[in-house]
Amino acid sequence: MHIPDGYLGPLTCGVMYLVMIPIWWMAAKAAREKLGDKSVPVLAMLTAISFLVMMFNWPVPDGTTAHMVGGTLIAILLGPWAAVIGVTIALVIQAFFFGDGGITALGANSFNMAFVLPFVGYYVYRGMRKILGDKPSSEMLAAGIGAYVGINVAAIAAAIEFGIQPYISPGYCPYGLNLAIPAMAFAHLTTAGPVAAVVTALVVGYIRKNRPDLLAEAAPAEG
Amino acid sequence: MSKFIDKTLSNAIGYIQQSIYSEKYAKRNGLLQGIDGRAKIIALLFLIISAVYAKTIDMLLFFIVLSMILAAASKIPLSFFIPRVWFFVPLFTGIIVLPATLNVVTPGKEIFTLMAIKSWHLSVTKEGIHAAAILIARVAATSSFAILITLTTRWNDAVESMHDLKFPKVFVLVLSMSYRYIFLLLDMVKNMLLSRKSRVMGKEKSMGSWKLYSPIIASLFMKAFSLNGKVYHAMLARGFGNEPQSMKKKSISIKSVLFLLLCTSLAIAMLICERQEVVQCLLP
Repeated sequence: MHIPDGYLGPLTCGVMYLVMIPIWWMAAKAAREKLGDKSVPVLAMLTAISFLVMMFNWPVPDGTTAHMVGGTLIAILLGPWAAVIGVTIALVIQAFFFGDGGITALGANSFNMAFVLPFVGYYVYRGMRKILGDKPSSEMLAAGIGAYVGINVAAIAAAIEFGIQPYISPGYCPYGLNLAIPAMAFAHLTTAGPVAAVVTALVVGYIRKNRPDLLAEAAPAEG
Repeated sequence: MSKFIDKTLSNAIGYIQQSIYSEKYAKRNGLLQGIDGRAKIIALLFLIISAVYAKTIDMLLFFIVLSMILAAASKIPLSFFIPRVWFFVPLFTGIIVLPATLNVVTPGKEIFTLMAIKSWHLSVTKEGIHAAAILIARVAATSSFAILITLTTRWNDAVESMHDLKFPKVFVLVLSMSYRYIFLLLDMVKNMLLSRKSRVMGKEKSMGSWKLYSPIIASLFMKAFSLNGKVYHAMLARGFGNEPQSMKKKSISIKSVLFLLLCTSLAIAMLICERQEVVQCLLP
């Protein structure tokens, strides 16, 4: 889902940066209010985890591998605004220092992976918990569904950004919405989505079993 | 299953090696290493933006050649730089844009037919090849400049430059700390995977690796949470006052100013040329 430089036209890159500026500002404000002085080490740790989670390669049925973003997982543990900062800075490090994802596309990548993914994943998780109840298995299922929906909505957002290029900036990504959306949706519904769902559910289950205090601390903090 | 452990392990080791290589070249006495971090980041960002705007193959080739000249002047061997740029470009972008060369995606003048069933046919078009070439060249040009920032700037200098360029304080602080966390946690992951690998015999099902990785990620979270309090108290003990401080002088050399002016003028000139579509007049 990391969009490299050169795929999106200058108009889309500029608009996505403009969209992300207030989101980053609100995330920094929320982190300061919620975490106080400790916000720096907590957010640095979340960034490092987000970076490392993206490094894991998961086997998928077609013989290849997929990686997850971890945005929903971070959002469940520390709230979606913390996930915005953690995933954004992980994307900055990847773009500037490891050449993964573009610098001009950073606004778009942050919108998809650091904003849409954790917010959708987190609120689907919260909604599912209300429906399924508070049992540990329900919590795992809710986390899995949240991660699955989150990554797929983020992939559709990326596909829309790709797919509008032939109409607004010819000469960039050559695939229109009719090709970009099915291609991205298929890949994420069948590979990255199940990986994100199963891993998020298993990690939440593991933390629930071994450090339930982390989930207990996280849950009431976000309304 | 071990191939997935191997792949993740090689990713982990790759990140560490990449970082070590970057520091190795960043310490050399070359052109870009001698430029102030602030001037270099702004100058190369201007060139990246200019390359994103470029729509002609001539202009993109100019940017690619320029990046190679800058790499050579910065004492980065081209035998290292070119594969670093071009290994990923044809591999990923090339695969992605391959269907765009076909008449079903990009209609146009057909060069040769791949498949024909009755009246339906699949052909490679001239316009499709041109669109694919432009996209690949643009990705190569932009990633070349981005890689130059990485290879010629030490981590501390990059973070300091971001601070000087008035990036948000919380952003700079988190960025500088997270980089250290990454390598600490990376080492933990590497050890966990190696210890698992040394105990694996035979083949395991895919689900086995899913079950293996989840506790590793969960334990990373738990370790990081427990580290957190200790790190914060260590920061306070060292006099942390929520404001990053720099010991280096802030003056900028004439060479850095000239480099910045040259690169930004070049980037703006190329943007104007692109807009007026007169690049063919300037480039043979």
